[in-house]
Amino acid sequence: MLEPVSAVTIQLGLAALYSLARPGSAVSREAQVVQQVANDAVNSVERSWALFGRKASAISELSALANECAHEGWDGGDARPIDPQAVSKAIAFMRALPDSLPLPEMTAEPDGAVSLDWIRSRNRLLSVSIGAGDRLAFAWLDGSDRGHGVARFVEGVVPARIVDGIAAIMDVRDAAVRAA
Amino acid sequence: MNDSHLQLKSAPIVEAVLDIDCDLPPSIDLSALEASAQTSFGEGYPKPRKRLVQAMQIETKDGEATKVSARHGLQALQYLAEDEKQLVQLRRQGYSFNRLAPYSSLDEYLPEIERTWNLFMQLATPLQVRLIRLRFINRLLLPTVEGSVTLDDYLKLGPRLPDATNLTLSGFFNQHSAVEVATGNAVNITTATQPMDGDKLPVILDIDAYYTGSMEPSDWTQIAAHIQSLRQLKNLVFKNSLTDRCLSLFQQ
Amino acid sequence: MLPSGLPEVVADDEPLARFLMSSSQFNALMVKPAAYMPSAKDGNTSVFRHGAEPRESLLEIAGTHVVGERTLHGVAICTAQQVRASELNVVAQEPPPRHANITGWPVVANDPEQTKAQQKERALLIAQHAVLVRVPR
Repeated sequence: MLEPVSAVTIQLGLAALYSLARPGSAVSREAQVVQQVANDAVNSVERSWALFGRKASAISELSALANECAHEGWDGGDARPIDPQAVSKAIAFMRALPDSLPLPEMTAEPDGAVSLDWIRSRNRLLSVSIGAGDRLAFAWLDGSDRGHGVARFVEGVVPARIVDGIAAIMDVRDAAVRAA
Repeated sequence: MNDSHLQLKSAPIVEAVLDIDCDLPPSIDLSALEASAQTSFGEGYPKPRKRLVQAMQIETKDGEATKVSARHGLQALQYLAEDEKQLVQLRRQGYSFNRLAPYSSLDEYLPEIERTWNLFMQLATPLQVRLIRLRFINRLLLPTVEGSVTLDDYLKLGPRLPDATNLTLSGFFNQHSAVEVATGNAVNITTATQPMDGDKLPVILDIDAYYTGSMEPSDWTQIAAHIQSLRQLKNLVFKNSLTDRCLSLFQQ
Repeated sequence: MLPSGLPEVVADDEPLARFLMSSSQFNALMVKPAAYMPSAKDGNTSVFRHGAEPRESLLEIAGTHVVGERTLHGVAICTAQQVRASELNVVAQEPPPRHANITGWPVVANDPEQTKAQQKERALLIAQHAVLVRVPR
């Protein structure tokens, strides 16, 4: 008999799988076995267009951006090359983004970070900077309202402040289903 | 049921990990702590190691050779005991204590965990604790008969095949996630097979219990209380994932 | 008076051109805020005191001082007043001719992410008003 699943505490199963697929703090051989098997399961999911197609395209776009901005001075000035660690983190972020949210547009920043932008209009947008660290800088404009903040992206969980911000800017209902 | 003292003569634990994830000061530089960390932990953990994260960049341009570059980031400073069965980690996300087999009891390790956590606090000055995780990785060696085993004899959470007559299971990877509503603790339960070990089938039972919430780093009483709560959950999951026949394997 | 012939003080109504070297720096709706983020090296954002027209002299500035072997994808035009309304400033800095810097970006000591967040908010405000000039390929 199948177990009931609580809609109140529903969590996206893939978030737990991604968490296992990443190097964690465990060091035993068995921990590495679990990580490898979880990785294989992740790869299998991500080969599916139905399950992962949109995000696969976005990740591919990010790779192209990384290639375009790989040099010092890519902006015609003194911009730093895009940081490969920032690219890795941006990929992890997009994987962790709830499927109910639209995917962002991407660009590089002069300090080597990746900027993810959700743009509804000139007056309604939210932008997140992804660098090599766990703390994400973000800012938003919503008509006459504006603001900024910093939130932590750890263990493959997009901070609630950012999920809620994206949902509000992009008019997405039912963003209550979040990555664990 | 109070399962805080699950006693097994030969527990199948291959690794126990306690993570205390915290907010560190924004300006902290892990590599700058290396020397003082080695002094602090060196007495019990004389073997230092680093865990690096590597990001590769592959750059292609028409008509030019492909360029590959890599950047390394420091993910953790690790300090291992002489026998390498126990280690303490300073991670970018916080603190870890790892115990590899042979494992006795969490009660035996808690004083050392408290001591090394205090050292971590002095070094890294965490601003707040955000998550406590207790992860136990078990390796169950299931006896086979003529090369096969009936998993239901040992696992209550075993996999099912759609046609048990015509299909033979050759391996599995299962993951369940659950929340203990009364405490707010969450748990990920993962089972996976490994290749045969002689005439035994190894099954990994990975129980990852964690609590997410804000705590003062200096409030060891509260932290320890959460560790015990997670321990109870872990023991409950362990005991209720396995049949009595399986549990008896660890009383020998 | 500067060598370019422009006054030393950048007037509020002067247009400022920011050259865009990646197509990712704008979309059909607008110039993206990242296009205005300051340099990690000198903390300023480089602009040129020129509007969308005359187009030939705008592209000549780009070709002479910015583009090099890269491809110019577009030009973002805003006014000094719009920059100042974002609680930043515009200061002439020559050579090269007509060059200026957007200055005054906030900095939070010992907290690079807070610094970034505050700078990003200002960049959003400028980008909100910037006009995109597409460059024919």
